[in-house]
Amino acid sequence: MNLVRYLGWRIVQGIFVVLGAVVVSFLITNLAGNPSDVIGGGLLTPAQRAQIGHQLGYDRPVLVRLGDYVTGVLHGDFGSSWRTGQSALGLVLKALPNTLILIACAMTLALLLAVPIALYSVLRRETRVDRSARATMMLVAALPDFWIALLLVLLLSVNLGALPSIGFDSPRSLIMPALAIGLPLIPTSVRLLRAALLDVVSQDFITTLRAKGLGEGTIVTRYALKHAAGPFVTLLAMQVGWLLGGTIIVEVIFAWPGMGSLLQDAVTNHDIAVIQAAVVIVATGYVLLNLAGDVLIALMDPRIRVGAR
Amino acid sequence: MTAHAVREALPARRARVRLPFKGQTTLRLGLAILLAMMAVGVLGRVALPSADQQDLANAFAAPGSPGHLLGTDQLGRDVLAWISDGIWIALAVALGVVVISSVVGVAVGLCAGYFGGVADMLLMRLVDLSLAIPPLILFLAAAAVLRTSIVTLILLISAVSWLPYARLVRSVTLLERERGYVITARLAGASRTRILVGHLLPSVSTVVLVLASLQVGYVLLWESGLSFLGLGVRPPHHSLGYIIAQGRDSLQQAWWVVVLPGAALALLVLAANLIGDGLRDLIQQDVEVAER
Amino acid sequence: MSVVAARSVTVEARRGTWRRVVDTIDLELEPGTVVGLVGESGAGKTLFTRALVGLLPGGTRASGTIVLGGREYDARKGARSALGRDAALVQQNPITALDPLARVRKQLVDGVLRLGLMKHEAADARARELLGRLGFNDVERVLRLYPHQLSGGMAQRVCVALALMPSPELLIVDEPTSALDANVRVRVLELIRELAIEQRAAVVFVSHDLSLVGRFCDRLVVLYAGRIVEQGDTTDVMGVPRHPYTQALLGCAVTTEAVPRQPLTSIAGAPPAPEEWPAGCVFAPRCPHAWERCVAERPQPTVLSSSHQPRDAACHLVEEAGAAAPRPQLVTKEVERRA
Repeated sequence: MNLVRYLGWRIVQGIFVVLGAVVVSFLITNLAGNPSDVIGGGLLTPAQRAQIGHQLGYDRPVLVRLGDYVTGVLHGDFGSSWRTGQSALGLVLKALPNTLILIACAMTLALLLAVPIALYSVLRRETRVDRSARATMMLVAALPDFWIALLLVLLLSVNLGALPSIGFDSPRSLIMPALAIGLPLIPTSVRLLRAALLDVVSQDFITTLRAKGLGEGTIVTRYALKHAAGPFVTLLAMQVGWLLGGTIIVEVIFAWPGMGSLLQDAVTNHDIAVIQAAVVIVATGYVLLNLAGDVLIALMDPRIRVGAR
Repeated sequence: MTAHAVREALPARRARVRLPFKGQTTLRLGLAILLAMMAVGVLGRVALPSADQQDLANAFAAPGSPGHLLGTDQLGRDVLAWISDGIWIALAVALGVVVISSVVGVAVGLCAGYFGGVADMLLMRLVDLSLAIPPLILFLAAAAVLRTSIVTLILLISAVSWLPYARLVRSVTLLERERGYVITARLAGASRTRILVGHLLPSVSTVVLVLASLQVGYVLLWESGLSFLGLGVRPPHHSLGYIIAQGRDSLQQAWWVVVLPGAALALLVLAANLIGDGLRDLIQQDVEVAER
Repeated sequence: MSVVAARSVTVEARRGTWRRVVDTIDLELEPGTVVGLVGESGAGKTLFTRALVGLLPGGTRASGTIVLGGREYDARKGARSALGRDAALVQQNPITALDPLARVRKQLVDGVLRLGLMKHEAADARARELLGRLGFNDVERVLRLYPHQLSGGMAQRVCVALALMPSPELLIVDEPTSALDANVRVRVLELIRELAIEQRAAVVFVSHDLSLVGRFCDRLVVLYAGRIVEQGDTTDVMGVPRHPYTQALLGCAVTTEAVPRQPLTSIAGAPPAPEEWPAGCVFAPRCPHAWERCVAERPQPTVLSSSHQPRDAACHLVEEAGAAAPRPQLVTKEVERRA
């Protein structure tokens, strides 16, 4: 398929997704209508509730408010945090890089372990080591990320005093949160990569490689891996996209100044504008990441890059 | 009749859990763990003091202390009692979510797959959208404006969880609706409801079952995560996530308040995943045996 | 170059229990000759060739000996270590047999380079030489192409070049042209034959297409249900087929000499599955000439000529009739079979 046309279509899809996210974020935060009850802690008189509601614009029809919101978004205006008055979008964008750094580290860590495990699993299929490795993966996959985080804090920070457990002061602060997020990623990554590799290894050109006298190890690590990268990268991009919103609890535990902590604060303070902005940014991030993944794959595949004869 | 024609005439993938293949160990292990945890839950109802009962004199009792097998937290509440209640809460929420989301998801998926058209397109766009927004964020967003109770929590999680069922059922329906037995039923004049419920529904039941068991793990983690943040299940109910959060501040003095409930949670998730994997292996092999 | 041979090679497949799918094959191959291995699908041709080079799929195992490059290999592993050096394989579907992510040049040379058989310049030169001999005019351009940019015929010729890079003693070509258009087929086979003879390789040409085999092979080995039923020089076997199966196969062949509007004969029935191999002659259930001895006793190859190349047929009829007797009548209508 023509690369440009494919990308164009994907961009259009992405725009729809982002718009959808805008609508969804609006709808969710307006589930309960006038939020003055929740904001005021249920201590307000009906008159006060009505007044706050009017101030925040909740007495207008839903669709009108939705329209206003969408128009605002298209101009880059996500409203302001009603608590601090700062631009909601600004707050989110300030916190975003910290979360991204965390995710990048977690992903790198996960891949550093997942790739060798997957390769080994393919080369030594169904041996006892392979089976015990897979059982271990199952166990790791069941561990809640916040529990891992607390265990790490317990072991490394409390007992050994080795690593900082609060905030983002130095690269060392990265270690524990990255571990807490990265470890649960390993089992899924191993499974995806292993499946992709097994799929590649069953194809005809692998027989040709064997017929050339190349050993299984060389074939899997130097050839099959390149071919498996495609489907693997696609799924990986999806996972990373999910992580954008999945770091919340770990960030809270480590007081990491990222989107997660921001969201938690916003929820506690019922800061709706910030939450809405966060949802839209996360969705946009997901779309961009997947797009980047697709572009990467397309570039790697000569069939798309060079085109037919 | 050739083998192919026979296969076409019969619905596919009926779960016949009969042959002792590799899926069975996994399944059995999962079920064993689940039953063990449920036993702990029953034990709590029957034999232990209420998890609310505070005993400040005995605060921060270590595991193995008299009367408190797994210790107590900073208010003297018995950890084991809390874990046992937490297990029930977790399972109750999981069950509620699975039931609601599977029913809704299967219904939507069947219609979308069988009738196609606008409903189908709408569904696929929703699926795309749902992939882009991590559920946890949506839950948090909702928690900002709602007062969450167990019921609202179940509804909230279900609102997101039904989509994977719909997508799965839709793709299976698309395949199955062209198969012999469906076409035969159509030609025989069966009503659409009858085809959907009588023929297609049983065909998707097995894959839905596998998906459900795999989803349980996610639901458990979401519920406990939200409860940890204080946005999920709160007292008077006792959630595993909640007590882990409580134990966080006193991590140094009383590690058991965090570690043990977390272990219980991990075991529940593990059990769900094992059951899901085991079922999937069994069904896979069933398909292979039928093909031979 | 020394002889290439398979001695008592048997392949078993596990379907429930282990069952023989290829039964005790002895084959001697001369360098510079093309031996056609013919038979119906499922006769075991591909499994046999895979066993030779140790590329059997899972669920199968082999026994016997393989002689290649002056060494003996146990068929349990096959001559796997000789692949890429003394043995080479050309697969059926050329486009999928090539790595879609690598250019032609890299695919041609990386095997011999990794095995340390040649240095860079030598490998490059050889690749160019082979491509030139295989009929490519613009060798430089082809070297830079990716497999998806090649036509079927081009791709198959590249695969042949790939196989011939290390100057192997044994070249197995497995239905190399079934994925190609008819017009390209002949050309590709001519090139394979030319090059193989020139490089003094022993070629095993696996096919179910008798007309092709007849044109390009020096010798024919006819396989039925895992056993050799007849073998000999091509002209001999195709001109004077002695085994009823060979006769029937030739009767089935669609040739340009066929009389129009004559019904295509096919052989009634189908080869038995390995579980159902009878005790006697395996072709007996479908053989128009079968009698009691055929059902009871497995025929041994009867040598039909004393030339140094094997010419034999495993058939009781042939045994009884003797080497010099004229061939039995080809009966096209049902003869009364054994009771």
